Amino acid sequence: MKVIELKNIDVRFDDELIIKDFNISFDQGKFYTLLGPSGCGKTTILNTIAGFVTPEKGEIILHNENVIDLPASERRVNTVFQDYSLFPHLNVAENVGFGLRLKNMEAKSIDNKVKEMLSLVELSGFDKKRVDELSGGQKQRVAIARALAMDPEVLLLDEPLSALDYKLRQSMQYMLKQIQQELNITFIFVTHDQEEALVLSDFIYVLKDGEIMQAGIAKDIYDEPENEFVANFIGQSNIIDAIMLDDYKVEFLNHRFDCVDSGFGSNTRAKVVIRPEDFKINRDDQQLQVTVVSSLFKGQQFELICDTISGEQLLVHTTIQIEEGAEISLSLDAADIHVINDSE
Amino acid sequence: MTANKRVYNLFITWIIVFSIIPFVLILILSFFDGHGRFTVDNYIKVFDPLYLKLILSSVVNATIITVACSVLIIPLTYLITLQRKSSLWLTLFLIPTWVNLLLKVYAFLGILGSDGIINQIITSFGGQPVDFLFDIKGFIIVTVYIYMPFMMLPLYNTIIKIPKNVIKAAKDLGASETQVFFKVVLPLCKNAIASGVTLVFIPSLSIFMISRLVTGNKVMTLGTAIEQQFLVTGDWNLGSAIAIVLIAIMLIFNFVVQGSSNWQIRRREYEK
Repeated sequence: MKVIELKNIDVRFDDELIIKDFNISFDQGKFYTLLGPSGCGKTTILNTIAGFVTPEKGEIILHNENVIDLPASERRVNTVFQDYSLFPHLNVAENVGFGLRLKNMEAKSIDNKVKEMLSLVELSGFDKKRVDELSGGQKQRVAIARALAMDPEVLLLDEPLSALDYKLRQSMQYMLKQIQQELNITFIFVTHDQEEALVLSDFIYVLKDGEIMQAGIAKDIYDEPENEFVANFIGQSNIIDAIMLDDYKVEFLNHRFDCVDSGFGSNTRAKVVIRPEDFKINRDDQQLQVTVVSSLFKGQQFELICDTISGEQLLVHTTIQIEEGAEISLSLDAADIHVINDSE
Repeated sequence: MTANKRVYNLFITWIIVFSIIPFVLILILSFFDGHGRFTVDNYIKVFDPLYLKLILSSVVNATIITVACSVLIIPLTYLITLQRKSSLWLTLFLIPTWVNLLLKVYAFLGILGSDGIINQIITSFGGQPVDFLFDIKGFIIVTVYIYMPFMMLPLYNTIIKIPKNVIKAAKDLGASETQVFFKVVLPLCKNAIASGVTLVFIPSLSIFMISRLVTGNKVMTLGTAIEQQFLVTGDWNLGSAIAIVLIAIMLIFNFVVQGSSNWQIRRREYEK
C-alpha cells in the first residue's frame, strides 16, 4: 500500500529548475533510502515531502490526499535533521513533548508519550537533562524521539548519522532499523553513504542531478547496477569497454566470456561492470593474464591493482596474500559479469 | 614594562579618572551642606514626598518606555531577520542613530506640533487635534523612537544566530508562525531582551533634554531634578544626593536583570 507519492514534481530555486517532472512513491512500513552524491536533489525531495520546499508544480499524495498546499506544520510527516536541531532552551523531556504540547494534549498523556519515546531510543531517565549536556549520539536520539512522538505516517531522516563517528554510527543504524521495524512506519532516509544505505534499506533510490538512476532492493543495486553511475557510486567497480557479440556472449580485454545478459543486439558497444571481489585467482577456465603492480592489506582483504596485457588496470580483492610483481591469472563466473549500455 | 601591562595601566587610569574620581566627588558632595559641614540632610530631602514622587514617576516613565520599545521592537526585529537582505534592513532602521540627537528631537517638534503632520492627518479625517507636545504622550513617543535601536541591535544579533533548522523543526512539529515566535524565538532571546531592556531602561531614568524640549519640563525625571539642582538652584549637594540615589536604582535594576538571565549557559549552546 502506497503511503506517499510524488507526481510530476518541479522544484525551482533562483530560476534554476533543479527537480524536473519527478515521480517517486513509498509503500507503508518500509525503510527507504534516497542515496546520491551532494547536489543530487535528495534533500530537496525530502524537504518537498516535509513541506519546507514548495514545488512549482506537481502533486504530493499522502494517503490519497494531495497535501501540496498544506504547510509543514499540518502534514503528518516529521523530520530528523542532520544537526539535531534540538531546542536549546528546553530540557530533554520538553524537547520530546514540544509538538504534543502544541496539540494541547493533557499533561498526563504527554508525560506518558515522552516516557515511551525516551525508552524507545534508550534514553529513559534523561528527562530532566539539558540538551547541551548530551553527546552527539544522545542528541540525535532525542531528535528521533521528538519526531516519533508525533506519530507520523512517514519519518524523514536527513543524513541523521553523518555527524557521528564510525562506531556510534553503526550502533545508531542498528537502532534505527529496530525502531522502524517495531513501529512499522515508513522511514525515508537520505544519505550519501552507500554502505549505510545498503545496511539499512528495504528499498533504495539512487539519485543523480534530480533523477532516479536506479531503484531496487540493496542486493540488486549492488549486484546489478543498471548504469555506469550506479556501478561507480555503489561500492568499487571495474568498468571496462566491451563488445556484446550476441546474447549471452561478450568480449572484453581481448577475451570472450559467457554472460547472463541479453537484448543488447549483436556486435554492439557496451561496458561490463565487475566487482573487485568477483575475480577468482588461479583457475583454468577463461583466464586473464595480469601482473600485480600494487598489493595493499586492507584488514579483511588484500586490494590488488593489476595490469592486463592490453594495458588496462583492474582492481581485485582477495583474501590470499599476493606479492607485488607476481603474475597471476584471473577468471570470472558468467553471473559476475554485468553488461550495461555504453553511455557515451 | 610589557605592552600588555601598559594597556592595562591605561584602562586603570581611565577608570580612575573618568569613573571613580567623579563618583567619589559626588558621593562626598552629597554628605555636605552648603557651608562644608557633614550632614545627611540631603538624603532626608531626597526622600521627602516631592522628590519621592519624582523618583516614582521617573521609574514609571522609564518602564512605559522600555515596555513600549520591547513590544514594538522584538516582533519587528524577528521580521527583519526573516528577510533575505536582513542586514540591509537592519542598517535602514539604524541610520537614524547617525543623526544628532538634538536634530531628531527638533524634527519631532515639527511632526508632533499642533499643526504638525500627524495632527493634520487626524483633523483631515475629522478628528480633534491631539496635544502631543507639553504632554507625556510626546515624551514617550520621542523617547521610544530615540532608544529603539538599542533594543534592536542585541536582539538582531541573537535571532540571526538561531539555526534555521531549529525554526524548521518547530514548524515540522506543528508550530504555526506565531507559535514559532512565542515558543522558540522569544525564549531564545531572553538574554538579548535583558541587555536591550538594560540599554533602554537605565538611560530613560535620567533623560532631561527630551523632556525639556518636548514637554517644556512638564514631565520631570530624576535627570531634570539633578540638572536643576546643579544649574538653576545651585545646590550641588542635593543634586549629588539625587545622583547617588539614581545610580543606586540603576545598579539594583542591572543586578536584577542580569541575574535573571544566565549568559554562560546560552553562550555555550551556540558555540558547539
